[in-house]
Amino acid sequence: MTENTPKKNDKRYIVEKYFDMIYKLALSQTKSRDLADDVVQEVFLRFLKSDKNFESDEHIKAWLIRVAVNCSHNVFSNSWAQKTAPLTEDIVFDTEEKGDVYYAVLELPQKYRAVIHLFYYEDMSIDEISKALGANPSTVKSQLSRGRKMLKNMLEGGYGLV
Amino acid sequence: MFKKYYKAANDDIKTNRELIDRIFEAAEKPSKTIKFTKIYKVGTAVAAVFVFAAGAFLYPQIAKLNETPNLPVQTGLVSGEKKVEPINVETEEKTLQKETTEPIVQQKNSARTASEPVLESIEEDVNSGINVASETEGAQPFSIPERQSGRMIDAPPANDTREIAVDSFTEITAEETEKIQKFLKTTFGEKDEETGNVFIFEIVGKAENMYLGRWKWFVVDHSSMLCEFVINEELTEMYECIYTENQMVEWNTQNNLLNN
Repeated sequence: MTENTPKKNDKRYIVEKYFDMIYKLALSQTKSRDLADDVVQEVFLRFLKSDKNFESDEHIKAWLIRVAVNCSHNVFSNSWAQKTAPLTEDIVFDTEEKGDVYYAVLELPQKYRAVIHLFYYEDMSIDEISKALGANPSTVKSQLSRGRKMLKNMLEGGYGLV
Repeated sequence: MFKKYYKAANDDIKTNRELIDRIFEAAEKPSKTIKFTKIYKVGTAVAAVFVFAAGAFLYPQIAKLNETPNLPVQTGLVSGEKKVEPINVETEEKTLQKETTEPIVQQKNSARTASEPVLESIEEDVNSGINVASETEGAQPFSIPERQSGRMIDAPPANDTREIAVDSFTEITAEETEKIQKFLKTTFGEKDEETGNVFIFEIVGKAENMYLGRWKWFVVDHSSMLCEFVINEELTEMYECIYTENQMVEWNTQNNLLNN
């Protein structure tokens, strides 16, 4: 282990650990690689400049998720982002099924996308999602249920139970 | 199946790990972001202090200006009154001259017109035995048509003006006086047709070939002078005249009362 190897409590270690997670969450929210890059930079810059004392790794993860979702909302409130069409077509998957499923999720409303993404990709429970988003568990459950129903309609019952 | 494909799709998405280094570079740079919220607070406080100080300084000045009677009117800055425009002297002089050169007889005539309702009431009062004529004698009509076109205090053209020194007039005989009075009463009548006031012709004296006299009428219990006049020996020319400041009797020869 060299001196440059990030340690567990090191901020660089945290950034590298959660970078992919935050990027994919931001991409699902913004549907644009460029906007996702902006969101990721903003989230981790806030993290690096923050003096907040995090209690645990889970606490950091929840904080990053919440900031990422909020920054994604802020990006869409920007007039420039509203006029810019998301470049989702540049994401190419090796199989048709992956593409169908992924773009079906992107067709959902933004609030449902975050819940679906965290539930199915990050394997987070409803309680964890509710804590991370600062929402009521019943609300998260409701959004998850509605998102599933919409996905079923879009995928016409394919790809097994959503 | 959905979860499997969704996980697989997200795993296929490549992330730009170079961003991590850029994020750290950006984080190490000192923040150049200006905290405008702090500037707004300071700026608002400074502006409030400035406004308060300016108000405290200017209030006594403005109050002093308001108390000064002339300055606001001349400047119009404080009270909002209009600026006093300079008078056009030539225009004012012309206007004044026009007003003063209007014959007094005409002015009397216009005054009479204005007071006609009063006169009617006076006549009624006289008929009923109440004596109020002395209070309003100046407004009583002078109905002789010849008199209305005369000039009295006019400033006539130099060529038509004639004057005689007051000192040069001498007394005349009773016969001459009676002769002139008889002629004038024949010409203008014994009394005013409209008011009924009796005319009085006084002959003061004679200079050169002109007699100097006063035309009066008798109002109830006293006489009132209408004008001063000169009349020639031949009794063919009669003019209104005035006494000038340099002791001269002056008249305009254009308006012969006997020709009218």
